[in-house]
Amino acid sequence: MRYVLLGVPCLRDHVAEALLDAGFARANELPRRGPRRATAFARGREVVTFETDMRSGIGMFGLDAGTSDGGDASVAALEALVAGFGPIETPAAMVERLAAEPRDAPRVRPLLALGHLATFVDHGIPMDRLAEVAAASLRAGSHGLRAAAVEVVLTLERPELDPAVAGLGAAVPELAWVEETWERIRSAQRAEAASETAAKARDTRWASLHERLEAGAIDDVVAITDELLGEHGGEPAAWRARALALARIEAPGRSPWEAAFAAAAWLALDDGARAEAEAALSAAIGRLSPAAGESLAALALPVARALRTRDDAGETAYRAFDALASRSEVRRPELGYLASCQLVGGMTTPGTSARVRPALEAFASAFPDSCAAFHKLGFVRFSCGEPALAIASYERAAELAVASRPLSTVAADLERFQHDLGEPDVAFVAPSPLAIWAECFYVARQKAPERAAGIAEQALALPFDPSDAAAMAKRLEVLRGRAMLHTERREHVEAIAAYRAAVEAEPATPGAAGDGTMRFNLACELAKSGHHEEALEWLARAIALDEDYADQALDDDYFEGVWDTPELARTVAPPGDDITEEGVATSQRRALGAHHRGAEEAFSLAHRAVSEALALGDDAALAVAWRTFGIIATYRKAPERGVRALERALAFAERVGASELLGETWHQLGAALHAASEAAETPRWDAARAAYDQARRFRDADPATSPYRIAVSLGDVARLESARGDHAQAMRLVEEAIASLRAFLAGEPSDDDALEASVNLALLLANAVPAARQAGAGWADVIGRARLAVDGMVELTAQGRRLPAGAPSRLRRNVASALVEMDGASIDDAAPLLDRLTILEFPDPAVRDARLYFARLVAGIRDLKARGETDASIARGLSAAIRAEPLPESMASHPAFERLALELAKRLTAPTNLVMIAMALQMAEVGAQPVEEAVRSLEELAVANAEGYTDDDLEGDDDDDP
Amino acid sequence: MFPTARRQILLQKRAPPALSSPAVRPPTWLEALATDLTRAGDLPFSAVAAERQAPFRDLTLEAWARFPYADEYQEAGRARIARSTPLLFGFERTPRLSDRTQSAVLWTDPELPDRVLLSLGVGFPPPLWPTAEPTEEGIRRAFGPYLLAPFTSAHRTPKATRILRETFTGMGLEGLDHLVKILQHTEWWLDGEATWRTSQLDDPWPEDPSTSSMIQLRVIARSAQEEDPAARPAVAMRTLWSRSVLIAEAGSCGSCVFELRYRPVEPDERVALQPGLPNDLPVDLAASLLRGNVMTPRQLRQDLGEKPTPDLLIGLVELDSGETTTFARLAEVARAGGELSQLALELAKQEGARGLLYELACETEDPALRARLEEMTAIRPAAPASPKADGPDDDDDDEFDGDEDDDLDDDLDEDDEDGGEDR
Repeated sequence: MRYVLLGVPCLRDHVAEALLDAGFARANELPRRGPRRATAFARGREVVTFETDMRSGIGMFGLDAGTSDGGDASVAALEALVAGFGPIETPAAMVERLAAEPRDAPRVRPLLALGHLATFVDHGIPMDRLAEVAAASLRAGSHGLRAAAVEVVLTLERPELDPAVAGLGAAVPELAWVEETWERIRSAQRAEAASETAAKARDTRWASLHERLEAGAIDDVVAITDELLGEHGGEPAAWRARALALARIEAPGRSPWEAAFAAAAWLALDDGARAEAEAALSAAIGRLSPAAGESLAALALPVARALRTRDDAGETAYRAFDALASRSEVRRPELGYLASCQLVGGMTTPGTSARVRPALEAFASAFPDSCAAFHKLGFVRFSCGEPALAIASYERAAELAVASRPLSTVAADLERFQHDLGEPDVAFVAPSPLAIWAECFYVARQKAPERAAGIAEQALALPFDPSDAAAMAKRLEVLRGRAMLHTERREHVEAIAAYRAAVEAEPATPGAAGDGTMRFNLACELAKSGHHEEALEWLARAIALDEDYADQALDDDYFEGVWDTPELARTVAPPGDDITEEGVATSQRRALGAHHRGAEEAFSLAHRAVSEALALGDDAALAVAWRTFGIIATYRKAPERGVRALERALAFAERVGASELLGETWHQLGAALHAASEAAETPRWDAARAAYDQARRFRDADPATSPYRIAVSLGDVARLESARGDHAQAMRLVEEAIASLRAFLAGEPSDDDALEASVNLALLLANAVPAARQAGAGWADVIGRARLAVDGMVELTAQGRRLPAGAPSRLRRNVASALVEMDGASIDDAAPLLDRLTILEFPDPAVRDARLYFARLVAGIRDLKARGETDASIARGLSAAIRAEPLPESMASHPAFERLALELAKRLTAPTNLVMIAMALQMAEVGAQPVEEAVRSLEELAVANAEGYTDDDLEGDDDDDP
Repeated sequence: MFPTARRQILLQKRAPPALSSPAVRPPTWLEALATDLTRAGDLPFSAVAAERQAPFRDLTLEAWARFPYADEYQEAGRARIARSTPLLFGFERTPRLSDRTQSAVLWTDPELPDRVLLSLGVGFPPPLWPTAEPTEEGIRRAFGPYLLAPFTSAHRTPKATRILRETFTGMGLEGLDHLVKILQHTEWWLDGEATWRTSQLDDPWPEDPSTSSMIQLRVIARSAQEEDPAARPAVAMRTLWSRSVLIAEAGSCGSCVFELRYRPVEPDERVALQPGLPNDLPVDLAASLLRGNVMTPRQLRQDLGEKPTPDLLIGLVELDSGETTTFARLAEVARAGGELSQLALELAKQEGARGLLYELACETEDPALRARLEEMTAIRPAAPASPKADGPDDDDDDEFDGDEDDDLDDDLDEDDEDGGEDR
């Protein structure tokens, strides 16, 4: 392609218009990238590209006549065509003009344009002349031209510019950095060139390797593979070449071990050539003597070690040993054992254990004195789900570990084998008796608890050396496990003794005393057994080690006897030294804030408020703190605790005597009694109503009570009446509450009050819908109320107010459930409300779309399950769809699963999502979770993607610590 | 978090449409047209049963009412639907990445008795319904570009033009992604979620993705969303019917610019395009330009020629980015002096027109201007690269940080004890 530069500005549209008139068509429209924007036009094989460089403000044409011989005549015709847009100039002419231009300003833009062109065109520009111009420009008098030249030089990075930059720092000291930068650029280029040369040399070596292999030149092949393996030890192709070369020829001076070693490595590394590698290994081994098993193992161990840097080291090493074992006539059990040891470790799965178990059993049978073998066998049998056999193996291992007897013949043989390996291998090292019993105890606790206590006693009866840190750690492990075992078996007296023993054995040094679990569990057991005072002492010690135990104590029913007592409050949240009224109020607000956010720490914050109020000794503060605690307990599904706390609050409130305080506390007590009644066999509806009424009396008597608070109270009483079955009364109360709020709003309250009241009005309007249904209202009335409620929510949203959590969702579900019972005309009226509620619930259209899609998918899954499909079969179907494989018939014919792969692909776009999908469906396939749950977890990922969160954002979620 | 889109609120506040069911006699040409189209095979329209006409019209009215436009425009659309009659159904098209199938329907409007009109799916603005002579040939000529358009490379469309919209904030949007979300999920004459960004030179999505595996589709989806850092942020998508390409671009001054690539259609004076738009623009492109102001390059250059203003100069840089004429215009304004020249210098810097700044620095006699230009074009060694992911300017985190702050405020501000209200 030949380039010419245009001497005047020209619009792309004008160029396009003229070229389209001349029979060209648009061929490529490249949007602007950096300073460059290009549009290509084609006519047959001719291509004209109009390119603009925004840095220089100069346009240029690329002309390609599409002829193989350069087609000067055809290009000239194209030149004539583009000359219609203004004067054109070749790059060479422009360089010469530039060189002759004495003034700085007119040189700037042509220099930039030529620099730009030279970044993607390497012919037609006389680079030596351009370098001369650049050199002169770098040393020009004006900053503008110098800066332009620097930009060109550093953009081009071409070696032809070396002379232009040479000595620049001396000539223009302020541009010394350009010379330094240039040197860095050039040395990076040289390094890259050297690396390319090395890569080429390597390619050459590979080519030569294949050629020498074909020629049977053993020494050459070994030399070349030495070089290659020196660079990349895990290169299967190099091992292959070496193994083939060594196996093929009886090379004088070459040991058969070398061939076997190479073949074993090849086999271990190259799955794709398993048969070929095995043949090579067999051939190599065939040349060894039958008694060479030890040497085979010695051969394989370095292979295993060489492979350890690979991710699949265990597996490849196992395969290498296994291949050797299957070919060894005299050392098969030993090699099989060594193979198994490559796979048995901390992450051993049942599948792995099943693979290695026969070899381990064969080895144990051949060497019944091997403690290490029985120890490993115990673990593998446990992993295979055979605890009785596992315990028997451990018992045998323990017996062998303490036995002192003369070596049997086979044991002596095994020692010789180990000696012949040349390097002791960890596989043959026997563990200590305590370690064996500790592991056996672990197995027994998991799968044979009836034997666990006895095993623990055996372990603890062993003599021990207190200065042996590893042994003491094992012993402590058993002590802790024994105590937990008693708790699991609800043997509280034994548990207390065992925890005391465990705590005593824990190192006294702070930070080394474990995580406080033993102390906390001891506190639990003591509390359960009624030793409350000592329980709280141990709880305090546990909290000193880990503050999380404070929250745990508040939820753990072993502490039920001390729950909600001032003593527990002081223990879980000891007050600071400087308690003020303001500080107590802040703690109380933080507790409520955490409660409204749904944060887990709400309970402990409420305890802190109580604890601080106790320290302050102020009745009003205590009333508010206990009330806060009561509210949180009530709405955290512990309404009975709420009632108790609110009764305490009330006692303090009565001592204070303030109407506002009494009104609020009575009201919350009513709410707690209401909530407790809903779950109770003997509900206390009357008590709840009486508490609400009492609250109303105090509120009515207090002139400062806001009318909207009265209205809210009415709403709560309405729910109570509805729950006890008096729907007409409930409806009347809701109406009264709504009327009261409307009257309040009509009185032009302050902005804050108006917003609060509007929120509550919207909620009451929404509550009026189920109330009206339950009161037996007609569908027109119910739909009318629903419409009013939706309008109210829309109005709130329009004011920028966040809707109360779950409000649109609850109303939508209520309307949807009503829809099932409605007739045709009512459905037509109600259905649009569902749309509007969905929009309110999910204002983001992408989130809404995702929610609706997954709702449809889950409904489809439930439909299939109702027809008898299992979670596993549906999960398998979903997996198949994701792989674009045919769906099972039941799913293929169901509309919910149409275009499933596509629908999931466009929503689950984050890098980690694919793994999550695989995991979720895998769990459903093995029955670990219902398939709907798996799909719901995918829904949350899809929603996060729709909201624009990245994986990084979501990881950051854990740091949400206010 | 995603703010409540204003249009969705408007959508709720609109009164339900007044339904209308005029009884009309079928046009005389209908039967012959239906027969011809059936015989043609590639235009699978069939007649609407008389009893389905009124319900379908009512549904169309209801759908139109859900899309808020300026009152006058909304009413014009409502009136057209109300007086028109659906005649032929049967032609459907589905966006590539969604199952939201849209139907093209042929209508008759008593105000255009000798024409047949084409509606293009749910909510498509009636004033933009293209019209045709009621013959197979007429339909093929006028509607073929919508019904029979093949997928072609986004580079090979005969026409390409750019349109300047308002700023994103002026349109009530947070930015490009917000706009794209709304286009994808509410303008159903577009090809929905099959979008691509600047790392892709052409439409990466297959014509029929439903046969691809999820892994294949994810590979496309991920690469389609990658940005070229050297390009302005932009998202491209096709229209559902004419397969035109709409590229929404975030201009460097915060404006939204649309690039439209299309195969021209036969101009139809009965279609109410926005003033100034090319009259050969496919209506499914024009439909996405209805809200807010639009300015075409021609209008902009004309206005700028009369009297340059700051807004027009900024508009020029947004719309004619990468044009040497823009460079020349900035140079002219910069050399003219006055307040606008300062803006021209800033815009030149922003546009990467460094040659202009260098040139002015060489030629100016004004020491203050020279000092300013030298400051603007200062050349320094490049700072060592820092890891991007951990940088303080990583915008991805801002959204989340904001939420955390909100939570803290909630925590401290919350003093409402009536937990019962939310139950």
